[in-house]
Formats: sequence, structure tokens, C-alpha cells
Amino acid sequence: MAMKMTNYIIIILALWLGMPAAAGAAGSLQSKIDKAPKGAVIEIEQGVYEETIKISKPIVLEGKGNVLLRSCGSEPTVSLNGKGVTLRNIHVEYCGDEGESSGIYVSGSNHILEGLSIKTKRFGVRLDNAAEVIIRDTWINGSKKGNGIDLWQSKQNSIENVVVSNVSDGLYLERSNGNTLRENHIQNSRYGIHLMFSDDNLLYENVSSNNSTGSMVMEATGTVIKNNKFSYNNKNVNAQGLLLYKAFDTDVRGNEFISNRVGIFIEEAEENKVESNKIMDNFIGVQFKKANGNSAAENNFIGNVNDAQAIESSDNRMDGNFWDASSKVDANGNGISEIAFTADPYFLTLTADVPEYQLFFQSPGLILLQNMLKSPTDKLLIDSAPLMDMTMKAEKEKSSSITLWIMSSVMVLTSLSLFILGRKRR
Amino acid sequence: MWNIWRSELRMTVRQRSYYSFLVLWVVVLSLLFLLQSSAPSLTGYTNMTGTIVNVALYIIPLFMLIIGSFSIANEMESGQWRLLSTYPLSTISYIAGKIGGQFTAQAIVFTFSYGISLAIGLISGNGFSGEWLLSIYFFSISLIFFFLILGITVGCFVSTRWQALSISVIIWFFLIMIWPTALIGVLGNVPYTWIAPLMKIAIFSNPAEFLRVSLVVSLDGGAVFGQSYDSLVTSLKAPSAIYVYILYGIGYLTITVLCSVLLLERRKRR
Repeated sequence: MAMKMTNYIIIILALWLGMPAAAGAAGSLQSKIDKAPKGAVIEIEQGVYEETIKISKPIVLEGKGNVLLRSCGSEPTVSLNGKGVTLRNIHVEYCGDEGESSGIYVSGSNHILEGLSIKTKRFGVRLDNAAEVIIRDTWINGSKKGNGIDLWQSKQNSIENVVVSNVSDGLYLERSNGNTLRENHIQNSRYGIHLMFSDDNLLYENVSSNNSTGSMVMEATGTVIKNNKFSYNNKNVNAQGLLLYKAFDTDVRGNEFISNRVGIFIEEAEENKVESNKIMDNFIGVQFKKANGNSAAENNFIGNVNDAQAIESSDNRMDGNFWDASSKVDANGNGISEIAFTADPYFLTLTADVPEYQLFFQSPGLILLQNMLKSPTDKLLIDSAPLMDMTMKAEKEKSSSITLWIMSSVMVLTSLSLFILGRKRR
Repeated sequence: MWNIWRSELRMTVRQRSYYSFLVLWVVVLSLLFLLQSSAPSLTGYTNMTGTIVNVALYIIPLFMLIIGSFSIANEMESGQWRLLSTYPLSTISYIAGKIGGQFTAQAIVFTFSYGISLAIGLISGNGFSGEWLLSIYFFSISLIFFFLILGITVGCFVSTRWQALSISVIIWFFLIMIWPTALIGVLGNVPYTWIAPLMKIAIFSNPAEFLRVSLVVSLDGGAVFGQSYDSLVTSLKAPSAIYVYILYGIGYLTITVLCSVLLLERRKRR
């Protein structure tokens, strides 16, 4: 997947660099569009077009070779209205400073945007009251001042295989229901995928890494988050793989949460299901805060410094997960350990009042203190039926053993020779 | 100074207890490395890294304090120091030689054990990440350095080995075991706004905490300490942070050596 993405970026970059600098074209593009009948296919010749265009009838606009549309004004570079417009194989650059402006502005329905590459100083693509729009195989690079793809009151759209980097929020949905986001890559941005007041959206197989937060779901109902990968969202002090804030009835299934500060943060959210996820190498695997009535089962907690923590949360069902750090005994051979797993919220309670004490995270003295001052049972997070074995495989990244053997022998030989030198009498 | 250095090194490596340290480190490190085989992941700061770091924080400072303080207290008790005082030898070169000799000896035995344990781990079919191994290694060596010189300072104001042992254990218990408890207790009585700056001062006043924080930062986990330490973590992560470490080491060394020299000078005059 990473390979595919890298290739894609390389190709796009090659196209950008290889483009003739001043290949101005005769006649404005807008006039060609205005003259074209409905259903026409307009092929754009290779070159740089410094203009903004507006399309409001069903036509196909297709770049032949390297086509760059560029504008730096307050208007979006390309605006789509009406129904059934197709944009294909075009580079769009928005270099203006207008706060809400974008590379491509879309309203109306049934448009198709594919094979585009968008460079923007503000937003990449904005969907405003749009429906059933398809955006796919597209590359968006921003300057952290606007969202990659921004949906406002837009329904049933589909966003597939879009690579977004250096923007504010990769994919941002507000009051937009029933959209499908599939196989997108978002990196080096604030939030990877950000859902606000948006219901019944589907997130499949997206990769969100090196962002402040992999994905944030806020006040949304019925979101399905399946087979995504949220990794290395750990640079920011508030970073996490997935944040469910006041989210309701979310289905989080089959995802990977790797090396985030917090894998999944569930705050004031209810009735969410977290199942069969791989939660690995995070500082905190799952954290609950004022969250009730959620359930987590069949997840694999591997290598997290702190597997789970909960404060002011009750009634969350945590049975049947795999915890690599817990003690396990299976007396009757049913694959379920007889020893319950418990997570003590002592550290969270301590740092909730005085955040400065977060410095004591995993400090040897604090572990001692925590063991002495055990929290009362009703405050613990308990998995009463932890699994004996992992339900999925975890792969190790390791250095080649030759390097390690060299390291080992250098250490032994250096110290040995110094030792012999030291022992010698003058 | 170099004579003291060499004789300290020679004396230490010829002691029987030196070889028991070899056995201790090999056993502990091998067990930790073998434990790694059950850990499904190796990169970055994981729960296994946390365990190893905590084991290192428990035992290295304790032994280094004891070794450091004994190396001086021993000579006090046996009268060798009185004899040395009659030589034209400055106190500072005596201390520097002691520190140098002991540190060389302890670094040798630790490095040797680390190499052997790594080989044992590799033979038993474990995989490691080189960067991770080096981080743990330098973390341990720095712990050895800081607590050895602290131990030497302790040795300079005690008169018997028994005193040296008890004071070493007290210092270890305070800096490692009850450090958070003590800080939380004290900081509970100060105005809220003082907590953040006092905590930052506290990091630098306890080498164990300073090293632990730097290790977490170097393994990309600085964000876990939260908002209040964001600027500190960023500055420790920058390439220029190497100067902070060097400066910290020099500062710490200066203060402890100065204390040791003053204490010994006072003794000489008595």
C-alpha cells in the first residue's frame, strides 16, 4: 500500500516538474466550455491555463498530457454546479489567500472527479450541498491552512484512493450523511478524517498516519470504521489514533492502531462497539473518559505501555480481549483465562487534577505508589474473560542479525581488551 | 591523577566482587533480552521497553551508589587515604582518578555483559532493533556515570563503609522509589501555578528522572508527558539537544566533584 502511494506521488511529481513552463493556450477555456453542448467531451491541450472556470452543465473535461489550471484570486480555480460534470486528468493549483476558497468547489450532484492533482494554499476540494459526487485517484497537497476535502451538508458522496498531505483536516465532513470514504491516505495534517454532526458515514481501509489525530468522530451516529490503519499519530500532546467524542453507535472493527499516543480515546460517547482491532505499541491503548455503555471485544492489545485506562466511566463491557501483559491461566481449556484483567485508573485520576504529573508516566516510583494505593474495585476497568491467544498476527521489525552480531562482538572485544589492559601491571 | 585512575581500575578489575557484577549483569540482561522474544513488537517505547528501563532504574543506581561510596570509604577505613594525604597529590586529581577508574571499570563490565547477553539473545533466535538496543545501552551507561559520581561524593563525607551503605540506600530510595510520592506530597502544598516550574526544576535535580525523560523523548514518546512539557520535549528532541546533555553532564560533574573536594579538604585539615 505504501509502495503504491509512493509510486503515485513520484509520478505526480514527475508530471509537475516535466511540465512546460509557459505553454499558454489560445482562447480561454471558459469560452470553450460555454460553447460546448450538453454531454460534450472537451479535451484540453497540454499547457498552463491561468484562469478560473465555472461549469454548470453535464460535460466531460479531460486533460491531454500535462494540463495545469492555476488561479490566485479569491474565486476557486474550478467551480462545478448542476449535475453530471466529469473532470479527469487535470492539475489544479489554487495559490490565492482567500480564507474559504479552494482548488475545486463542488455543488450539485453526480459529478465525477478523477485522476486530479491539486495543490492549494487553502482548501483542496469543497463540497457544498453536493450529493453522489465521486472523487477518486486524486492527490491533494496543501499548506496547512484549509482542509483537503471539505464536505458541508453533502450526502451519499464517495471518496476513494485520495492521497492528502499537509492540510488542516484531511477529509472533513460536517452535517454530511451517508458518505463513503475508502482507501484514502492522509498524513502530516491536523486530523486525518474529521466527522462533525454527520451520520451513517462509512470509513473503509483508509490509512491515517503522522497526524495530530488519526480520525475524530464528533457528535455523529452510526459511523462504521472498518479495516483502517491509524499509526504514528503521536507527535502532539493531544494526539490519538481515533477519538470518539460524543459519538453514538459507532462500529469500530478490524482496524490497526499502531504507535499512537493513545490508540482509541472514547470521551462522553455511548453505545459504541470496538471489536477485533489490533491495538499495538501505543502509550495508552484505550482510554475512556466519562464514557458509558460502550463495548470492546476480541481486540488484541500488544506492546502498549499502558493497555487501558478509564475515569468516570462505568458500564463499559470489556470482556474477551487479548492483553499481552496480563497473567493468564486457562484451567478448562476453552481459550479464556480464568484470571480477570484489570486496569487501574490511578495515573489518570492523578493527572486529571494536575496535568503536570503526567511526567511520572511509567516512573518506577509511581508504579510503586500505584501498587500501594490500589483504586477501589468499582473504579477499575475489568475484562473478566481475557483471551489466551492473539486472534491476529503481529509482525516484528528488526535489524538484520549481522549488524547485531557485529554490535555484540564490538562490545565484547572492546571491553575485553580494555579489561586486559586494566589488569596489566604497568 | 592518571596513576590513581590506573590503580583504581586495576584494583577494581582484580576484585572478586567485580566478577560477581559480571554474572549479575549477564543474568539480568539475558533474562530481559529473552523476555523480548515473547514481546510481539520491538520498535519504539513499548511495555517491554518500559519494563527494561524500570529494572535498570531499580538496580543500576543502587549498585553504583554503593560501589562509588565504598571505593572511597574503603580507603578511609583502611587508612590508605591518610597515607595518600601525605603524598604531594591534590584532592581534585585523587577524586578525578577515582571517578575515572571506577567508571572505566564499571563501563567495561557492563559493556561486556551487554555484548554477551545480546549474543545469548541472538543465539536463542530473538530479533532486536539496533537503534533500540543502543538507546537502552546509552541510557544504562549514563545511569552508571551519574550515580557513580554521586556515590563518590557520598563516600567523601562518611567515615565507615556501614555509613556509606546506609546513606547510599537512603539516596537511592529517595531518588528512585519515592521520588514521585515525595514530589506529589510537597507540590500539594504550593500554589497551583508553581507546580509546572517546580516539576521542571525537579527533572534536572534528579539524574534518574532526567535520563528517563530523555530516553522516552529519544524513543519518540515525548508527547505522553502532556502539554506542560511540550516546549521542553521539543527542545530535547532538537539536534542541538546534545549540548543540553553535555552541559548537564558537565554541570552535574562540577557540582559533585566540588562537593567531594571540599569535604575531603575539610577532612585533611582535621
